[in-house]
Amino acid sequence: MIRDTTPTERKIIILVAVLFLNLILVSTNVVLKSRKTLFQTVIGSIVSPFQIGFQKTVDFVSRELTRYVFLKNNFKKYRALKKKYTQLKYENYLLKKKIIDQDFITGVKKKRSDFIKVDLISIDSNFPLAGIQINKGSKDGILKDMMVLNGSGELVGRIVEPITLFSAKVRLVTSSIGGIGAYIKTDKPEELLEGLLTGNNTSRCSFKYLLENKKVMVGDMVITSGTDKIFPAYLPIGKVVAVEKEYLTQEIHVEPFFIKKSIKQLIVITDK
Amino acid sequence: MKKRRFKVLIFIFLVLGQIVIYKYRHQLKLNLDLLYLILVYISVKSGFLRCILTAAVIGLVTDYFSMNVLGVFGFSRTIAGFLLNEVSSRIDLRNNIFVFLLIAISLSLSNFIANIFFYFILGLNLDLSLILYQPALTGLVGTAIVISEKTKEDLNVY
Repeated sequence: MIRDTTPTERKIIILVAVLFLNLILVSTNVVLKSRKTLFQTVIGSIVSPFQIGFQKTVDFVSRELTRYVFLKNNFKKYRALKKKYTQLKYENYLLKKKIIDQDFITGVKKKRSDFIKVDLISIDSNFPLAGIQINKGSKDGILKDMMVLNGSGELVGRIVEPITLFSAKVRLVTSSIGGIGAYIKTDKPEELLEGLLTGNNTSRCSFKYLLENKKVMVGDMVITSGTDKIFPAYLPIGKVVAVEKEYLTQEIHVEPFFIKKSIKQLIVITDK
Repeated sequence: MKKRRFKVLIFIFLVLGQIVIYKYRHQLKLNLDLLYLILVYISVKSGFLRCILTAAVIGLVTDYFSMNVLGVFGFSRTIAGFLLNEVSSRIDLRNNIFVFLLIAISLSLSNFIANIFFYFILGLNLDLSLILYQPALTGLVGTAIVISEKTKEDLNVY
């Protein structure tokens, strides 16, 4: 219940109200050390939390938006660069391949005039030193019994069936099937020891039918003799790595040169 | 009617006088508050509300003329008006000494309050001319105005 105010109370209320109004007036005019009036300071104190809140919200949104846009742009740039990087990497790979091919072809050209450069497609997983598959076939002029050499012009094998339009099989020197007529070049230049070189699907071949009294040294070079009517004479094959004496003959272990070299790129001699 | 006109003339005289004093205070070396005499008169003659409001208005006008912080004299004159209103009914204003003392003491108190404000707001020290000289001089002028019985009667001070 609201009590009626007495005249004295009313007077006091009026007096206080007028004095209060005057004080407010004073406060609006007093410039504090902060170079603001008290009124401004009070209003500022009330409003500033809201202002700070608003400002922080705006800053936060603005910052996050900027960051988002920045990140989005960066992500786009990153993707574009990555794409470009992949393209350049591929281009680089192609150029490197081209250079290697060029070097390979230049190297081979010094030794052979008529050849086809071929690449290895696959190796027989059961007998890796028996046969390989190359990426050129009858369409490119590949025929049976053509010689296959490595980049250094050393014998790797020969073309055998099957020959398809786009691929062909190469029987390696180390294959257990067939044999190659070969010479061993000893330290005497005029002496050539003739025999048959056969493979056994390992990294070493056997030079057979050489009489026991013929002196062979480890490290002697083995070349084709041409007696098999398949390979021309004097093609380097490998070198002697071991000599085993038997009753009348001796067995010579030969390691083909191509074993320790890359066979990713090969050449097929088309010159008959 | 005649009394009313006389009263208005006195008020106009006091206001103009105050303006002149404020304008030429440095040359005149006079420290008088003639507006305060109007406040004294209204406080003596009027009711509480009018007295308080008039005091506040006169205080603000004084603030305006003195070119200080607005509201300081408004505050101090309001208190003075309240005091005058309360005290005047309890003293015999036919005695000129009481008139003088009423004006001088209340103005001195009012100026003292204003001076406290100035001390805290502007860092001004206690101004004796504001607390002693001005109240005394204003009291003398106020007393001089109502010194004759006829003036007292015309102004209906009793």
